[in-house]
Amino acid sequence: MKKHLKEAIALVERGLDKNVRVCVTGLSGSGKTAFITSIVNQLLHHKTSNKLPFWLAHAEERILAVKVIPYQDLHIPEFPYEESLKLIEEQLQWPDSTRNISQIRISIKYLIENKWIRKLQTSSYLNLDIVDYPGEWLLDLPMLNMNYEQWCRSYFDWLQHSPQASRAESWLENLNRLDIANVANEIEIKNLSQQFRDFLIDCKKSNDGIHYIQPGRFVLPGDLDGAPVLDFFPVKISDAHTINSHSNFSQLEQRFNYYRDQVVKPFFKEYFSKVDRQLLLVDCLKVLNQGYDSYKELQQTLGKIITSFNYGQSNWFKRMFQPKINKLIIAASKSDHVPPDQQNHLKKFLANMLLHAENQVGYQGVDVSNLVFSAISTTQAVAAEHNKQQLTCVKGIEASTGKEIVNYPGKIPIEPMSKQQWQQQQFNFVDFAIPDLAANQQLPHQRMDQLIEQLIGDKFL
Amino acid sequence: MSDKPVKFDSDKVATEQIEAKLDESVLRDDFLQSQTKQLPSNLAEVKLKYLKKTSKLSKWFWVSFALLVFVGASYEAWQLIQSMFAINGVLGWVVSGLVAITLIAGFGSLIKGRIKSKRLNKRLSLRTKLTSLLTGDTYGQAQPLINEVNEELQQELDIAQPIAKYQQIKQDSHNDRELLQIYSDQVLSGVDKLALEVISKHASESAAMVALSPLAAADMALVAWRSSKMLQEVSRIYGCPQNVFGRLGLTKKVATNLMLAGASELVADAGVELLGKGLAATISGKVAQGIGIGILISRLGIQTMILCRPMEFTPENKPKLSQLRKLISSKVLSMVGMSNKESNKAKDKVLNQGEQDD
Repeated sequence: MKKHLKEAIALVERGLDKNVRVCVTGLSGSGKTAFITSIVNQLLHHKTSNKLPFWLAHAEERILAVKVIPYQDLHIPEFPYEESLKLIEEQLQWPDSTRNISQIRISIKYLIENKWIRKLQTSSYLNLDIVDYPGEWLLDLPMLNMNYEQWCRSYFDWLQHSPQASRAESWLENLNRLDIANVANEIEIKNLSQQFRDFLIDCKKSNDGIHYIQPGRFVLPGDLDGAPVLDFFPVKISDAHTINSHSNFSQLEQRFNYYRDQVVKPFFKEYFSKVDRQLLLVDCLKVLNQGYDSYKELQQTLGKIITSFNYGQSNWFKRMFQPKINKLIIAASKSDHVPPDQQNHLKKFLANMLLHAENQVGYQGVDVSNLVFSAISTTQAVAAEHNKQQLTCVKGIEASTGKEIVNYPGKIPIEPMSKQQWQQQQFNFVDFAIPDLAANQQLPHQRMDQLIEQLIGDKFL
Repeated sequence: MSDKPVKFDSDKVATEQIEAKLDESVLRDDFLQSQTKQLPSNLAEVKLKYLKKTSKLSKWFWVSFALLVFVGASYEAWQLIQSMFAINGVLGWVVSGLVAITLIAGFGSLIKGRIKSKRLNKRLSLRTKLTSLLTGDTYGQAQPLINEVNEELQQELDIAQPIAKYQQIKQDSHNDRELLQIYSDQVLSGVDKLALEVISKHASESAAMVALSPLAAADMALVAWRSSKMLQEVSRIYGCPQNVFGRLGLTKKVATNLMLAGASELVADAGVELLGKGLAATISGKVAQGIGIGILISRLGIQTMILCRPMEFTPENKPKLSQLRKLISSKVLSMVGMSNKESNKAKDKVLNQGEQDD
């Protein structure tokens, strides 16, 4: 009985929208952990902060208190906020890349503005759940809509493009020796899987801007390390094959299906089907550094991810029984690496890149917006003269050398560029290290307040 | 600007704090790029330019008309002085002295007024610039304009604190639109509140005076006096003070605004305010008239605010008549000796009083 009551209360609260589940997605290295650390930090520092002018409820002084509270999904590890912050503040290091899923719940108490609700109660709270997980796993999402055959075809399509084509050569050579119609040979499959994984890891470590590294668990297995479910790979399929149920092919297909249905599906079902708001972080700067191939690759990867999520207008009825994403914010992170007069260019660049994907999602009634932000700002804007020209640059500590530098990264285009233009354009976005930060102070940021407003601003009635 | 990336050692290059030292051509380029939509989607993007030149004929008409009046007036004055001299030499001297003083003072204030209305024109052009920045995607142009506005405001107002707060909040990563939004929220919203207070003070005062005064002629004089005083004060709050002649221009503009933008609205609104408001209609007609006048005056005040504010109002922060209406009616009622809570009693009382007056 008590359990039912609890469930009913949870349902009503979700109907009243006191819980918001924000899913922070992004490929690995796009700054998810830094973002979550920063947003928790900004929210916890709301009392003394004057750096959040665009968070409306805060500007109206309606935020009473913010607290990190325990959440109900006890089997998910907690997001290591304190540890990340300590790493940033004391050792001036960027947090390690995420290796497993984690969650944090923040409760925000606020004064109600709506004059009708205010008659019932003066203050209310909003529970904000933020989920962090390895970006590598996100790439499994498009697999959900494919069977093994389709997956193989799409995979070999992808393999034809450079730069991944050259890296796959040796594995492909070995793969060609495998007859998929033969009776399954466990050792051969295992060997080839291992080589396939090595190829994926090689792609990941390379600096060529290969994004579409699928399946994600192959490079970051989590608790699946060594399990036979990870022993499969795509094969070339010719239509003439008659395939019996004991062949290599069916063995691989079986594992693919298992991976898809027992690993990927439950993961997304559990963590993402409940999501109300989605934030997609994109690191455009790496792409600009790496050039045309990387750009195309990222465009396709993100397009696939964006369109595979479950979107839909959520009214209260739907929200109660089947929550869906009703807002998608696509944000370019690391804006502090870009001179301020070019940050609008970056936004435009992002919008151009994801034009079609956004369009498709927007058709489903989802609010899509773009933003350029920096979770932890590491630079200062300065003007410097070069060849008798005034350039707006950024000044900060270069991560690789530890020296303070002034960088003009090149001019970000606002129009889509042709392949040739990409080759002519040069960019040099430098990775910056975290500058010396005062302990227990609000982390310096750019536009985190606008991000907060867009994510949850409408929930402060 | 070159498109190639450059990297310097920090100690080998001279850098400056960014303060609007940016390449103009690039910014203009950006501004053009930001206007992506081909069709103007709303009215805010299309505007009739402020009319600078009237046609030649009408110009000649006004010049010749002014000359004619001037000649006529001088002739009259000359005749007056002559006839006065004919009566008595001392009287003649006194009258001609008076005429001279009138002329000097009149021309002086006319010139001053011209200067001040120039200031209003300057304000209007500043505002068009700010509006274009607010819709565009530029960087580095807003701060000098904001400094200009600050300077103008600070001549009349003490707003050091909000300006300091604005300086604290702004970051060098903010683009023009963001800066202007922050400025509007931090500095101008306070100024708006002050202006609204002044308007409500004047409006309710004159409403009460009209409610209490027995003569229609006195009502008109009161309204003219109070509303001109209010125009003066509101325009001063926004840093473009207007004197009598300058204010005539302002008054004209405000009246045009009132007529063009809100003629129908005014009729409907004022009608509702005058007649439809249960409380006002039931108590004395005089009190209702006072409240009506108060509301008209506050309308005028809000129009002045809209005209003088350095940045245009957005739909969200636009001052609303309803904010003032309550204040005025409660103030008038309390001034004639009632409060809203006792309105039931008050009804009978006022009705009785009304009968006694008759």
